[in-house]
Amino acid sequence: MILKNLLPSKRKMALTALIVGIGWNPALAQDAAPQPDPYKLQPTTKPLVIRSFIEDSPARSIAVGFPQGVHYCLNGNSGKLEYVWIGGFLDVGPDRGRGRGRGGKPNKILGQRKDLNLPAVPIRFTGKEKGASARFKGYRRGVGAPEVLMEWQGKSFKQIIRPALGGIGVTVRYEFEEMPEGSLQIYAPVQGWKTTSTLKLPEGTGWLSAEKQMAFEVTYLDQ
Amino acid sequence: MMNKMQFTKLFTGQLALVAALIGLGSAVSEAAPKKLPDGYTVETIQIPEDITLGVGGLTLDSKGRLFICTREGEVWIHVPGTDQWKLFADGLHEPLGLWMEPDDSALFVMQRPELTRLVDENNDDVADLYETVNNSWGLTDNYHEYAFGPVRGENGEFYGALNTSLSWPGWAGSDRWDIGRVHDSKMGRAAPFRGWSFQITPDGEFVPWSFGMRSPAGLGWGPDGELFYTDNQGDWNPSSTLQHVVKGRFHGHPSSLMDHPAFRGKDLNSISVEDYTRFRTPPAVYFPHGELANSPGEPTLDSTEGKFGPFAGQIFVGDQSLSNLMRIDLEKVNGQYQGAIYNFISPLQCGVIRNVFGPDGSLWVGQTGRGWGSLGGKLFGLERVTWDGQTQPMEIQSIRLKKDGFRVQFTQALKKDSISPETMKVQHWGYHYRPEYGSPKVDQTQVELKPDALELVSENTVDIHIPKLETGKVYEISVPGVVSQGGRSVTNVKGWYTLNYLIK
Repeated sequence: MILKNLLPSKRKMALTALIVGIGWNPALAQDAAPQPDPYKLQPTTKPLVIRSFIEDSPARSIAVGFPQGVHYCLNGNSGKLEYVWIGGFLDVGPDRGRGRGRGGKPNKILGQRKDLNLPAVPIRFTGKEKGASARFKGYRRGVGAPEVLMEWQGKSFKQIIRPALGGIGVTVRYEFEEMPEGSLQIYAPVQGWKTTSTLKLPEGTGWLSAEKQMAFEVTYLDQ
Repeated sequence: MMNKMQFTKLFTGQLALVAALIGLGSAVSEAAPKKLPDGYTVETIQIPEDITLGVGGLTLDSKGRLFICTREGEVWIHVPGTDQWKLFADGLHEPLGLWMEPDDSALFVMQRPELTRLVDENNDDVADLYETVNNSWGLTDNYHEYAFGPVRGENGEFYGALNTSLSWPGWAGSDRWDIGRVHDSKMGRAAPFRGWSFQITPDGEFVPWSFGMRSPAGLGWGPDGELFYTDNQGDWNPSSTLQHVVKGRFHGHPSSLMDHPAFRGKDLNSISVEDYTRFRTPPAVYFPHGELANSPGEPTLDSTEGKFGPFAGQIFVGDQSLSNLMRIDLEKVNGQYQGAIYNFISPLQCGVIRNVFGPDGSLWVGQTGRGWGSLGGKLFGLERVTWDGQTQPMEIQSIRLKKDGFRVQFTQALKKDSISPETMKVQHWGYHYRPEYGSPKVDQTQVELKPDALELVSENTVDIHIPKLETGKVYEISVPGVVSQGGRSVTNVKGWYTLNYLIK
């Protein structure tokens, strides 16, 4: 069946490979049987969370994909939102050796990458080093976006990152169990992104002051 | 499951591919083991077609359910004796070990980047919480930087071990990991604590433990509650080994010394091989390369108190390349562990890296062959080895050092006239500890045994008197013609004793 669909010259080569067991050319198999690549993952009904190496990303990376086609890469060491991408989700073939190889190589994102250039934690409380003591503590999964568990100055909080409404970007919801001391500041990226919040923010970029609340959201929309 | 000769990988890879294409895969994988001790059976577990089960870790909960983590990043629950499989967790980064809390409240998993605590918070057999316990070690995107473990101590602490980095640009395909190679070896240290074992305290703190590991593909407890690990043959490791893990011990691979306070900043290439030799603690057991094992996995103590046959207190280890199960019996000589290793069952359907004993005393065997090449041809699998509880296998039970030779105990009473220099043979050899990849056998010597060198000291025990024993050698004792009083010959006729220390 496979051989039948090949051009005569390729069929001969494939047959030779079958018989003598050398010189197998994977391209022949691709030509012969075009199938959806099982290693190219696409979320359909709920978010996907994949820890792996990802090209041009930190070694401790966590890819979170959404059916809406907006995905993000989280730094699994600091909890930093590294970048978002739009389009296809993730090719995990490099990590899994495409089913036969050793694998362990960086996976590839399948969409267009958009860097946010955020600090490790894009919120801070005045008088404290920005994000210096933030710690990634894991995540909780459910049917919706994962809750990223963080700790800042000994206070636990959650980041819940999901695709933004009304444009290409993400909304980050922060939920504190106990509010840290000091005044709250929120980081607005300097270029390429519009930052809005459920809190009232002044115009501008960089660190912006806001009124403290136990839960609030910050949205970054690509401009 | 570490770097092996390239031609081996290519050959086995092509063989498996051709076998799969022409429909021979199932026939190869279903072949019965050629070496199987009497009384033991091997059951191949049927895995649903849509599950890729490249086993990285195995454990059981208190209900006897099997938890299996895979190289593909998933954790599956399988209920033994049924066709029930359920996905417990996914999206993990090449997890290679599991440990279940005795009350089933959490499953700990060793991922490449961290030790993680998985919790099913709503009792639906799906993990909800993926909590970071510790991630203090260095990690690059070098594919060889595996993390192994976890093994839990009696005080609630965990132990793990970190692979060195594949640093030689010729193999790694880039020079960006070319850090910490010593005397032009292949493996290096591209990130902190590669080549170290570590402890995670009950409070979650990272404590560097021992160093000098190369590819520490499995950790486990020994008979006296001491920690052991297996290391895979390669640079600075002449043949695969079982080593005793002791805090502050140097196991032999020098790249890890970059993170040792006494060596930090020093030029490790200025230290001679002879000095590294003096600093190194020799392995408790060598696995003869090619003949017995190429890539051993997790050491698993037989704690079944006889449910798995007459080997209670011994250690079972699988091999990823040769797809066999082996057993090891250790003894302490002058305060240090050394001992003998034997084949047990071979070959299984594919590479063996993880084992766990079930509550009924059967041994679950987790398998993976992807990417490394393994006998049997299957890419992954799960098998179960069971002893029938009655049949006494005919095997070498143990080999113990004496002042003037070895005491070889068998599992059955021996036919007296089957003991002779024609039926029992001894040879020994050494290895080069060196930066090159592996070592040939060195100074291979046949020991000439005269008839009075063999003494039947009990119905199942023979003393071999050897006038001059040599340290730093592997002694191979083979018993090809020894038979039991019932006329049964030995299934696995060789034992290999690593002699580091003599009895004083």
